[in-house]
Amino acid sequence: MSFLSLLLITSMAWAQERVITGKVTSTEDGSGLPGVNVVVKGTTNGSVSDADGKYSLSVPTTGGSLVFSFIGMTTQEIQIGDRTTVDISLGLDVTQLSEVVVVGYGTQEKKKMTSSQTSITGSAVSSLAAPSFDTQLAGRSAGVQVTVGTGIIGQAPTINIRGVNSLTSGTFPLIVVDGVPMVTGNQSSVTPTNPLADINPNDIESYDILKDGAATAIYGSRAANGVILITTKRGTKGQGKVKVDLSVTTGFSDAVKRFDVLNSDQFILIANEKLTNSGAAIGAFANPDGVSTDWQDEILRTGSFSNYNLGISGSSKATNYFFSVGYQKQQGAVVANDFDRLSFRTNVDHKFNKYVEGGVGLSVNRNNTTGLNTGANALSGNISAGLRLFPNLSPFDATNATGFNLSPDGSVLGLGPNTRNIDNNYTNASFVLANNKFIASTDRVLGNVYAKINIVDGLSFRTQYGLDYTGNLDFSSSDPRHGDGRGSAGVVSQTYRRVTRWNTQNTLNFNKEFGKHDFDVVVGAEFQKTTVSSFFGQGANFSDRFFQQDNLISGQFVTPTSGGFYSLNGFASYFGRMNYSFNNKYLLGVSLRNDALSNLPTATRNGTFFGASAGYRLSQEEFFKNLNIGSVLNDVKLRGSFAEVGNVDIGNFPYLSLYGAGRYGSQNGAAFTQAGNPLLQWETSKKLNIGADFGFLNNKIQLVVDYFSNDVDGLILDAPTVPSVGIPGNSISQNVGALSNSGLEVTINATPVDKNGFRWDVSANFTAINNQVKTLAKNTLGETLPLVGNYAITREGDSQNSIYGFVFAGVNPANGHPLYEKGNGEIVQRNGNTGVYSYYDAANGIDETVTVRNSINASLSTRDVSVGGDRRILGQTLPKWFGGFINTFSYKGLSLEVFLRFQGGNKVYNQTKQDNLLNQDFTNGGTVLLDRWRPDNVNTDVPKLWLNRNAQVNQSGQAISRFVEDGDFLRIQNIILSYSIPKSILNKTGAFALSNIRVFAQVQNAFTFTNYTGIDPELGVGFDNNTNPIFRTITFGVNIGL
Amino acid sequence: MKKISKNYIVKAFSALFLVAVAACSDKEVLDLQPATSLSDKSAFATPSTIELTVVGVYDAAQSGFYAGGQIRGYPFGAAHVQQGDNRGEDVISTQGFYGITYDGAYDPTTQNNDFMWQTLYGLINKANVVLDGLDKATLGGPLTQTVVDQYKGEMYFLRALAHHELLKHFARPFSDNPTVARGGVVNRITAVADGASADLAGQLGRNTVREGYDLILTDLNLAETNLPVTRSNASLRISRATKAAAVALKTRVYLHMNDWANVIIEGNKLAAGSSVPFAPNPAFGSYSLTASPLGPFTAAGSKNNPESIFSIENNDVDNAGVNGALPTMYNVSKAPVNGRGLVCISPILWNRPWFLDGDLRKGVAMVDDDGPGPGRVAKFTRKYSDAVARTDNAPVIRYAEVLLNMAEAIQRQAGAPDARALELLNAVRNRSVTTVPDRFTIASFATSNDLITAVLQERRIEFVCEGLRWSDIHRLAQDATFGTGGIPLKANRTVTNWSTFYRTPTNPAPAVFSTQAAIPYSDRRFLWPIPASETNVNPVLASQQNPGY
Repeated sequence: MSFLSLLLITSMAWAQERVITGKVTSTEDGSGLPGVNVVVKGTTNGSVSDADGKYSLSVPTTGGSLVFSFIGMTTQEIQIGDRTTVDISLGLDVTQLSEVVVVGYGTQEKKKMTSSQTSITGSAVSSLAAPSFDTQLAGRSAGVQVTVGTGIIGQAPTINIRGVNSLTSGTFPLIVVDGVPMVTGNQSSVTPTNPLADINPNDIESYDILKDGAATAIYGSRAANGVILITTKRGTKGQGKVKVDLSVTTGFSDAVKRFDVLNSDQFILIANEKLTNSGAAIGAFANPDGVSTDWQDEILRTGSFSNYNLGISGSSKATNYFFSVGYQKQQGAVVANDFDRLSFRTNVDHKFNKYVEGGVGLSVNRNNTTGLNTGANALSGNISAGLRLFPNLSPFDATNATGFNLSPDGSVLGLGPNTRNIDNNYTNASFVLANNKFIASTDRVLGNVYAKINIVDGLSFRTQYGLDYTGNLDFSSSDPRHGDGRGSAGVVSQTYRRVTRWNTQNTLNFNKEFGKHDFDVVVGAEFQKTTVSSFFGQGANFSDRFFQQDNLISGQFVTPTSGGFYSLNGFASYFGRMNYSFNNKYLLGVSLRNDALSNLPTATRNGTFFGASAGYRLSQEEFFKNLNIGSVLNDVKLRGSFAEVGNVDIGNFPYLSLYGAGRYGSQNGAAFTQAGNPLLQWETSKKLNIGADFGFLNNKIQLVVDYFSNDVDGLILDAPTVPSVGIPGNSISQNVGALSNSGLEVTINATPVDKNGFRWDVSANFTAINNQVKTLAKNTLGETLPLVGNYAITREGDSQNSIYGFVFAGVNPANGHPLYEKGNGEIVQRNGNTGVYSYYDAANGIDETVTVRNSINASLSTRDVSVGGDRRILGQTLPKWFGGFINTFSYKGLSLEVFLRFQGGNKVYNQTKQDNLLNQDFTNGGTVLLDRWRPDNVNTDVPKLWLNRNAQVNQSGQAISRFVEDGDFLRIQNIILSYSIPKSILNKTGAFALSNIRVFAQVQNAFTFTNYTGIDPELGVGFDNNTNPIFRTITFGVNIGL
Repeated sequence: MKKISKNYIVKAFSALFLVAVAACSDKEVLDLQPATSLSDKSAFATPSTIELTVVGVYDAAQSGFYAGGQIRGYPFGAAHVQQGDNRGEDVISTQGFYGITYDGAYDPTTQNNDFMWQTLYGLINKANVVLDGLDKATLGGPLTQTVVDQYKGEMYFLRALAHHELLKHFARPFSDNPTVARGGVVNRITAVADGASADLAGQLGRNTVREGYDLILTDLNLAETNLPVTRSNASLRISRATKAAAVALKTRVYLHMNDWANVIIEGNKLAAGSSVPFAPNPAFGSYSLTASPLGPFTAAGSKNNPESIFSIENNDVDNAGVNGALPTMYNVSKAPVNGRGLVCISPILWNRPWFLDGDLRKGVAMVDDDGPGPGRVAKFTRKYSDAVARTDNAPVIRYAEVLLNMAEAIQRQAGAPDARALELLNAVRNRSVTTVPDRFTIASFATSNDLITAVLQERRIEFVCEGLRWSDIHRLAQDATFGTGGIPLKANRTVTNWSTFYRTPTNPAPAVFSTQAAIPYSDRRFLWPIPASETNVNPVLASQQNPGY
């Protein structure tokens, strides 16, 4: 304020000759811009525009030029000539806007940054149809991989920043909202919920993704998986006029793809062949009414999406404010999967006086997520139902009391025209989806309050208190007549879970230039405590379905159950960071943090983490500017950083030996549930980054290249123990693992065309990444213990979680048995009926017994080929490369954005095909079964059918190369077409004055090019097992600015 | 100067503020202890927490974990019955649920075998950990040496029970060669509670079968010495180990060792007399047969009866769940029972001429017909009654078995049909065979072997759906006279409607049903493989896998 008054006073003192008046307006909406500095060039003679954008200024008679400047806007210079009125409109300065970025515990000028960080503006993703912002970050930043595991709304994506940086501990990045670390992870026990959906995407100003060690080191023990800083919108100082933004979006969605399942006739053919091959009588018959049901019609639907958002922001002399209210409602493309959210946010900042300022930010949300049974192996799981239920009957049966087609006892799907019941007791999906409920209602409060004291010029003290509160009420009700609730005569369960986190931060900031030396220092302390408490009540054996609808009702059930849970953790930290630059050319950053964590034993719970980075702005050198290349390559910065950070997402008290609840019938007990390790320590991640930033043609083309490596050491692993020693969970937490992620990131932003109003912007990023496991636990013989599952292995020298199994060698044309290649290269066949293995002799294909070698050695051994067994790695599940490519074309008000995303180099295990589409049970299956071996179809990859012989025919329960597929894909992620109505048409005054109207239409998940035969190669994250499809969403919307 | 000093004051305040916040918060956020579990230090600190840890070992016997953390009654809350039955021919697995076990289609990754192995060893280690904790506990208050010994007796009993179950599934029977190197399972007798002890224990290989049986007997003898005669609470008398439980289990173990003399010595402790009621011994809890064959069963009966010597307790909130509980899996699916009808009685047993039509164990009180609707029309046991709340206890050993164990042992030692052996057999049989002409007399048997045969047949009838069939197949597999020679031929479980295949008075000549081939003793499938979850991480046992896997 004093600076401005000073300016006014001096301008009066200089008042001479003549007065220039005028109005400064915004090119964006034509409104008057207050607070714009107007200075006569080369003098200190200036003025500031008023609340309407008007200014007046005395200038010398000789004229000269006026410089109009305003933070965030392009500075403009206008020759005065002999004019007395100079009106001007200022546009947003994108380059200037991005100059300051949010970093941990502060901000930093972009040109001085020496770390690797990506900023994404909130508006880039806010209009997209999604409950949460996280899924929309996919493909937008090099090094950041965002994968959605299923299409179920509420399912949180996996976010990997520069690779998967742990084996058994958490791999999710730290999410910090307005300086407060937020609670992440599913909070519901009945349906997946995503706590990130508790932030209204429309409220977000920017995302800053901290990738390398230097950027994250200030977060110390929580930095190993990277950090995403979210900054919410606030009123802009000097904004003056109240700004109102209204947006309405609506649309619909459908599954991107469906499975090819057998129709009624095909089912009868295949099912009866399964039976007759096994010596049973035929059991499938045509429906006299000619019914052929595709059960996918029962589990999938056309979903709808609508979103309404109202934002109000403004400022007065000393106060900025932002208010918003949003409502979103989404009906999933999977039946029974819904989501709605009502959200409010208030951000207010106030400057009390020269020394003291402060503010509050508060968001309050209510989410409702409605889910369903999606269990891959559940008898009422929706995808299983879609693939396995009899197609030759209707889901409905008017003669049944329930109205659904059920067996007379209500236990399984009805028979229809078939003479044997469906195998495995599958239930009628239509009944289950219509009658069973899974609802999670979440209340979330994210609040923070801060005060800042400006002690002297350049030195300030800031204190902040943050609160993150989640209250989640789960409700599930299972119908007593059929499905999962039948066995218990109806079940209602409710769980209340409350998560509270408080976080306090106190920082001292010092920012001052001494000649060519520029210092930016922050020191601080942070404390945090998180408490989780939950309890549940359940009733079974209900008096009547009437009492199962909305809540647990006292006195209406026979069997009550209740329980609860409580956990807590905290940390205390001290940290400091100094950024120093000399002459704007040589840049240096150092940070140090000490964390103490309640989750570790006293002796080892303190850890110190440091980071250092350096940069060199070559383009600031005079000699460079004088080079020929300097005229093309206007900006060059070389960067390097190294840091050692940690991962604390290791669960509560992993070091203690524990005795948890061990109830035995009616007797209370405490059972040995966790074997502790008093020596447990921090796991550390050494992050190296070497990068360079280039700006060409006055930054029309920007290129960022980074090489990185994360060497994660002392990983806290659930080191496996031998099951027969009886350690609970067969593991003890130990600091035994090591892995590395290294790779290359390239980002290009360019504007190839900007002519005659037509503009083409390109933003592309590419990441190549290599994941390698370095060290795992060893047994007492010094042998490494790989982490082996039935489908995957994590072992030294390979990428983690690789597909691990047997090599399929086709089908024996002589008898239809599957063939496998043993570790030693010999081919064996497995009798599809008995499961017995024998050596395969191509010349005498049908023989299973004759050769002397047909001893026990023919059978497949689950041991590794390297030790004489038959299992080997069949493919890497982690992508080796991925990226995004955004093209934006604009012409006047019209804009078209095409966003492509790609990923590949990995394999996907199609377990859906193995276990369901090709199942051998008396159930429906996929059309892939039609190519099964028959005496008249001997050259095929689909073995002969044998009833119930899934393990024998398809090796189900284990991975085989037959179901390993390429995961490469190119996706047209979004196509957005929008039109901003020209301002000249808008009504600018009166009660219905509008500053802008933008209408848009968009398609998300428009199309995917892939060779993967399942629904989508990204689903299931490498292991696709009955995962629900993702949606293609088409939305229409309008943004209105008042 | 004035300005600077003011700044210093502000700075000093700020610094103080920082420190003040730090000092009050450090303890609050760092010195935290778990609220949901006892730590190893507190678990053995008080008599009350010690009692909890002892019960925790029974919990491990009742409900160990299954894949994905599910509870399916492994090992003794239900699974021992289901696996024991489905490995034999007297039941049919009507659906895929126990199909792998029933068909002998297991391999090292089969979850049933895997989790039986894991939960049995989990139970053994929990017992060892508590034994270790008891050694270190300070006596005082209600925690007397007697109480500590009693707790130890319970641990020894459970450890023996688990080792024997392992030997039955993963090792050849005692009657094969019990001293063949690495023929048994790994005997575990030390507590493994941390990384160092796990490494040490992980180096141990398989013991011999004899070493396994020796350990079991040592444990059971210690258990017999330490355990109480009975419990004041009638339900605990069955669900917690007693002297009689140790003795009864010894009769079974000695039977597996063909050690007839010791079967009789142990059996006489519970039933000394030569005729009914065999002089119930108050020093061993005075067990007796119930009047009805259903007496030890049903949700209510299984909790309190004089015949059940040891059962695993289940109740409405803690049981093997809808995918594991005995009443769910064994009951008819028709309303109002609402079971799942997954295990029925096979016509192979039902149609035997020695399973008489008038036997109460064929009556409507004991057997239910499921239907209508194909796929499950068969005869199901009613031993377990509560398919909704799943409260039935899971039987482990009952007095009737002790009597039949003794009958067989006595007759095995006798040259001619023995009166006491017959009396013991009749005690069990005659409560169900109520028609006097159908009852056995000594004249019914021409030879000793005839009487032994009758005892073995009686075991199949009496203990059907209690999981004991595999026990007999296993121990008798090598028996020249009474052996099955492996896993017998079974009914083809893919048949959908069994109604015409049962012999009943109205269907005296049932249709011939299709069958599944027998599996010879020499076949690898006679034994379960050591699971891959073990061999993947344990090179010692990986090299000691059962042949053929």
